[in-house]
Amino acid sequence: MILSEFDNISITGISVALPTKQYKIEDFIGKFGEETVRKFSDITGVKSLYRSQLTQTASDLGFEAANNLFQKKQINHDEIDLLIFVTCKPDYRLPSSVSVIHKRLKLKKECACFDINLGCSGYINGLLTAYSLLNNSDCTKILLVTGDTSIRTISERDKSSYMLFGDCGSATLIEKQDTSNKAYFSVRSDGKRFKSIIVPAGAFRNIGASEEEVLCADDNYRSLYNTYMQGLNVFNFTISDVPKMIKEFMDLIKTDVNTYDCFAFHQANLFILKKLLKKLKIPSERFHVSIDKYGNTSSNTIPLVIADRYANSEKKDLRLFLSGFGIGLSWGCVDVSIDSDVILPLYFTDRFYNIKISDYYYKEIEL
Amino acid sequence: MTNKEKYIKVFAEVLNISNEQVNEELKLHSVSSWDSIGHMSLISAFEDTFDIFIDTEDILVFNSFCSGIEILKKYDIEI
Repeated sequence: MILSEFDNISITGISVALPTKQYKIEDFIGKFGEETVRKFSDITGVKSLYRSQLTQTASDLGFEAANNLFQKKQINHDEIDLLIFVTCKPDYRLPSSVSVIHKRLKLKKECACFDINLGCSGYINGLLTAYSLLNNSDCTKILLVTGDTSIRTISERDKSSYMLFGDCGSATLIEKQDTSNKAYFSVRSDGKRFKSIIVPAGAFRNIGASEEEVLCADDNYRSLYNTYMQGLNVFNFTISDVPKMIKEFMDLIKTDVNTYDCFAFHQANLFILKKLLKKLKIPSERFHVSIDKYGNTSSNTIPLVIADRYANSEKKDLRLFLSGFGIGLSWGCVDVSIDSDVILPLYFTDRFYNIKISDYYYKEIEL
Repeated sequence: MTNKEKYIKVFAEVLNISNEQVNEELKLHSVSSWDSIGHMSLISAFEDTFDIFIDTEDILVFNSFCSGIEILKKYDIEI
């Protein structure tokens, strides 16, 4: 097991952005029927979702979260030494979406930036990358941005996924700081199961694949440009590999479930969360669920859980256990302490980067 | 209601199939409603009906009408 330990690094800001358009689970009855929707909601826990207009991308949501953080915390843009963007829904094939965010945030040229292509484990891997670079370079402040609009590749006739995913963006500021708080990380991957969650076409492996939707084994229609989730494989992975890692991690760092104020887990679905809670014997009052309000928001679920639970909280010093798991397959967990004062209330916006198609063809790139 | 009647009722109600379709031939994916959501719903319904908590190791091998009977035996539920 990879175990990373850090000190003198802190999370000093968390901001989460959501689109304003809310869908109630009942809104899907017309598409899938009352019984299907009721059973789905009972087992997944989803009661509502927030989704973007087609014009608003994952990078727009991430940018809005970051811009909100900069404004509310009065952060000087020139202080950011590195920008990381985690997404599965990039703006373009090229360049990385992080370049667009870098421009829009007016960050300095000395601020390096790169994308990480991960989903539900993305926040953990992004955080680990930020902590590692702070620990091994002269960087002092890193901005980790996440954003996803999972619905973009989900078939409208996929009853197992269409009602599950919501859109969201987040921004987390991490900086070197004299502090006695330690942070611990562990991450794992299993490439053998890369097909468990996949969009097979649209990139460069299956060029020219048919766009025809076909009836799949699970009675859902999809094209190769849609997200395929082998639900049972993912379910089995989540209730076996994930708790195994968490137990081993806590044994290694000599903590237990009572060490933490809150367990902020990726919000896969309510049934899986209940299984993890019981398997790990986590006291329910220390386990926050937000899937009922926002659905599964991919790499954003962990900061969204933290903001949903602790924005405006009176409790100051929090020791949190974070865990993300999904596409790859990949999974990881973090033991981190934060001050609740750094967590901003949820920010709702439909703003987007209004760049016209003609701008790509006829204008010189701004310098 | 006997345990067998309860067992059949769970399959029929969760998977939205007739009691006659609940037999030894019933397996994961043999009816379209036994997908991942149906699977989780079945486990949840068995836990509620028989007041048990099914361990991960048992969930991983539950894939048919017959295997469910064997799993429930481990929790002292005779079908």
